Order: sequence, then structure tokens, then C-alpha cells
Amino acid sequence: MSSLSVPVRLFLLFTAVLTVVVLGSFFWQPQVTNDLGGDFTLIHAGEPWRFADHAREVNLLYIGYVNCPDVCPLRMSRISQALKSLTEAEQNQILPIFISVDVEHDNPTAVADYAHHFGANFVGLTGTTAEINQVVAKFGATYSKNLAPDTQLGYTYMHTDRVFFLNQEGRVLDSIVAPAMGEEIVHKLKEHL
Amino acid sequence: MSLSFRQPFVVIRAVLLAPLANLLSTLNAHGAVFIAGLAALLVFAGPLSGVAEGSEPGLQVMDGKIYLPIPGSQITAGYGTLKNSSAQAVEVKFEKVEKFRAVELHQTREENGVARMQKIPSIAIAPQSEAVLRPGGAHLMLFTPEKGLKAGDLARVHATVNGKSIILEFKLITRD
Repeated sequence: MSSLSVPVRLFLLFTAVLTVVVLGSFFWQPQVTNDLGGDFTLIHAGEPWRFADHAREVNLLYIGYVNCPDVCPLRMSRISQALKSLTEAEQNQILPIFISVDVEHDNPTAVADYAHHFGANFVGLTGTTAEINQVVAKFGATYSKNLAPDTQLGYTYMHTDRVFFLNQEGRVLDSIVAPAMGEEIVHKLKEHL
Repeated sequence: MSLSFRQPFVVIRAVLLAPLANLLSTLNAHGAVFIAGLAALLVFAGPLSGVAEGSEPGLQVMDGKIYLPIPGSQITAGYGTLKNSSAQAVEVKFEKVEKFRAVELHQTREENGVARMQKIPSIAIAPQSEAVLRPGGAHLMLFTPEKGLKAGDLARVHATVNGKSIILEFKLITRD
């Protein structure tokens, strides 16, 4: 190496850096996406429910709470509309999941009933605070309860407003922030089915 | 409430038409009866023929709808377009709603993929303008419905417009 001229050394150094950058860009993005998600167990209608036992080809996840009057039912409706626009065979490859973060007020039956309203195959889950926190963190989501003593409800939750697309292992394939139209969800679903 | 809002117009019509009827009665008894009848018609028809139920002069709600609560929840939301057709800015406050225990005005905000909602006291509408109560924005939040509500029922929302009471009608619909 010591016999190499300075321009050649610089060229080799540049080539090495370029190779690292190119290969890095190839592997970095998928790795970050797949770091999110994974298997989890929560409660469905009073019984333990493990994702791996029910997962389908593509699984849609929304995190909210039952007493959310505006955004949560809107997103759930959009998911429902998206599924209705697919063929029956396509629908059978998809599992829609709603997780409530309002452990204090949303009992397992209420969450299951709530999710079921949007479609016969919609699953509504809850759990203990520790379980919910673990699952929410797993998907890179967030939530927090804010007291609102001037309201009838007395509280509100801020929460991630994102529809997650999960593979059969529960890994995040994709997501859409605040989808306003069912078509956005359909488009993504067809990419991953 | 409708009567009190229209009271000045009713009085003005009566004051203008009564002397005319008196004048004509000196000429023709049948004419006086006709004019008196016309005056009475104008006085009493005012509250019936002015503005349809669900609206008031200056403020109307268009496509007003309230979703029936989803099973598992006792809380829901209402939406619609509030149209201010008057020449002055108005401040609209929501006081109560029939068929539900309470109504509040709330605002949803989306920041960095996180939704947050907070109560707001009122909504301001510029002259000849409108405010849209829409999903993901300002909306009515309704609590604890009466039992037996069904799609197609009307919910009368009591509000104030610059302090004057009005009733706005919203239709109950099922969320699909």
C-alpha cells in the first residue's frame, strides 16, 4: 500500500466510502421499518388474545379509545369502507384490529363491541396499563391522558392517529397518518396483499 | 323563542295596519272586515311562514347530522355547516340538546401524527360566511343519549347566536 500514490489512495478511499453508503442505504430503511411491531398478547372480550394465533396476510391496526367521538370512529369507518371495497377473497386476507388505551373506562366487552360495529371480523383489544404501554411502544405509537375538568367526560386522550399495516409476524410494513379517505387504505393494502 | 325574536316585526305590522282598517271601516263594513282579517293573518302567520324549523334568520345549519353512539360508547359527535347569512359577525355557543344529556363544542387538532381534542367555548362566523363542523376539526360532542334513539330522529340543539337563543335541528344517523 505504501507504494501507492496519493491520488490512487484517495480514489480507493472514495470507492470504499461510496460502497458503504450504497450498501447502507439498501439495508437501512427496511431494517428500521421492521424494527417496529412484533407479536403481542392482549385481551379480547375477556379472553387472552395473541396476535400470532390470529394474524392474516395483512393486518390493520389502529390505536385509540372508545369514548373518542371524532377521530377514532372516523378512522375505523375509513378502514371499514376500504375493506368493503375489496373482494371477499381479499377481505379474508386482512384482519382489522382496534386497541383501546383507555384502560380505566373501556372494559374488554365494550372495546370488542365497539370494534365489531365496524365489521364482523374487526377485533377490539385492551389490557392492563403495562400491557397497553408495551404494545403501544412496540409500534412506535404514543398516547397520554389529559384531564379536562371543564368537560362532561372529564378527560381526553391524545394519541397517535395512524393506521398501521402489519405482516403476519406483526412487523410494521407500512402506515398512513390520519387517512381521510378509504381509498388511501385500499391503495396500501393492494401493495401488500 | 321564535316568537320573541319576531316580536318587533309583529308589533310594527299591527301598528301600521290598524289605522288603515279603521279608515276603511268608515267607508265600507265589509272592507273593514277584510282588512282586519288581512292584518290578523299577517300578525299570526309571521311566526309560521318565516324560517323553517331548525334555523333562525341569520343562522342556519345545513346537513346537520349526529351519529348514533357506537355500541360500547355513550359519546358521539355531530357535524354540519353553520351558515351566517346576516351582515354581522356572530358568536355561536351550544347550550343543551334534546335526546342527550349534554352537548359541548370541541376542536380536534392533528400535530405530527398525533390527534388531540379540547373543548372550545364558541365558534365565530364572519358576516355572510359559514363554519363547518367536520370530522377532525370543530365538532359537537354529545353525551349519554336517551334510550331508543334511532336513525332518522331529529335532535334539537339549543344554541345562542350573539346571546339570542335559537334551536338548530340535527338528524341522527348511523355510523357505517
